[in-house]
Amino acid sequence: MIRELTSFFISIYAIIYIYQLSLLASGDFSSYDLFVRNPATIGFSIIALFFTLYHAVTWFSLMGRIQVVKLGPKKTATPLQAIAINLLLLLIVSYAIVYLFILR
Amino acid sequence: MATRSQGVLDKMTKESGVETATLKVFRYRPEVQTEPYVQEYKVPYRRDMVVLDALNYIKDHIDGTLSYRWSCRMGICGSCGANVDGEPKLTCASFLHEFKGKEIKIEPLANFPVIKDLIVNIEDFMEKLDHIKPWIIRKEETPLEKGEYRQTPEELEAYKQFSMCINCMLCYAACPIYGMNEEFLGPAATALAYRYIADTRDQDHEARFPMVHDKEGVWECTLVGECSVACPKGVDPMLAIQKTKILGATQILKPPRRGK
Repeated sequence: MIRELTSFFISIYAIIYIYQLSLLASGDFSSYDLFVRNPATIGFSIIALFFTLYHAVTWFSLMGRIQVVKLGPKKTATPLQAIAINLLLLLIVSYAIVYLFILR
Repeated sequence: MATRSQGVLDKMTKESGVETATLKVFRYRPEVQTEPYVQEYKVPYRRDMVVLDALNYIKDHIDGTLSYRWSCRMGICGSCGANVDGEPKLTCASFLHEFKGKEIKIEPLANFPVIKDLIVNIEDFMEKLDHIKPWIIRKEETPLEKGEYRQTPEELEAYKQFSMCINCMLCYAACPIYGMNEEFLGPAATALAYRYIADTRDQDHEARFPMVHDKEGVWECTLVGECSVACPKGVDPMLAIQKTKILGATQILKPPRRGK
């Protein structure tokens, strides 16, 4: 149930992030600077990061079990192999997109 | 009715130095009072006792008014579900020694209306089981002369674990989505629907798609996963729900599957 709790930290972080953007948009860079450098902001951001990572790791670790990857007619990938394959494909497709639209 | 083991327990309580377990049991007796209350019982403790043994001891020796469901006492009938110390468990499968040194709180199964004491109203669940057509649907009946349906071990593996459900409803008690929304189809019903969808003998799994792909069907699920944690039989309803989501999302790409 901890994964459900992470949504609380992420939504508070989203509000903080929107506030930071509003400070930037208003042109008040010194206020933005003060806010971002505030130890409370940094502390909360680190906590929110840990919860986000927890969510991501637990979520994607289920991927291997749910979407079974077949390695040929008889063999199926273990959950760990399935995550590795998916991440590899993600990297390849991401690089292709970056290359096609930005680097070229 | 005094059985031999009850005689032994009675003897134990008379001797000094017998360990006791304290149970705090939720009571609700609408014919006596409208408000529920908690009643504390002290039960003589033996290492091999489960919560159900304690409840039976209470009913036989201390308080005959305590009401609860149980039957097989071996984890196969699915009758004895309750919230033991906040966790949905089968009382016949929860050993008292897990709670050594603590008071044990026994409450009725979460997320269901309470009829009396630990007995909950399971009508909603029974309707949902019926709703998803839990039988093999054939488009063409195979004549008897053709012999029995045959399945390879792989075809059996595809649905076997989802057929192990004992309808104990611990998954519904564990599911926070069901706790907030009674309309949600829920883990066990979806696992049962998937059990038939994945069975190669079934020829019309799309007949169940309107039920499982309803907005109150699998799409309410946010992958909390507590249902699979609570399941005493390893059914993994979370997996069944996600597999059904994938089927629903990809059905437009695949030709309809033909059964045997």
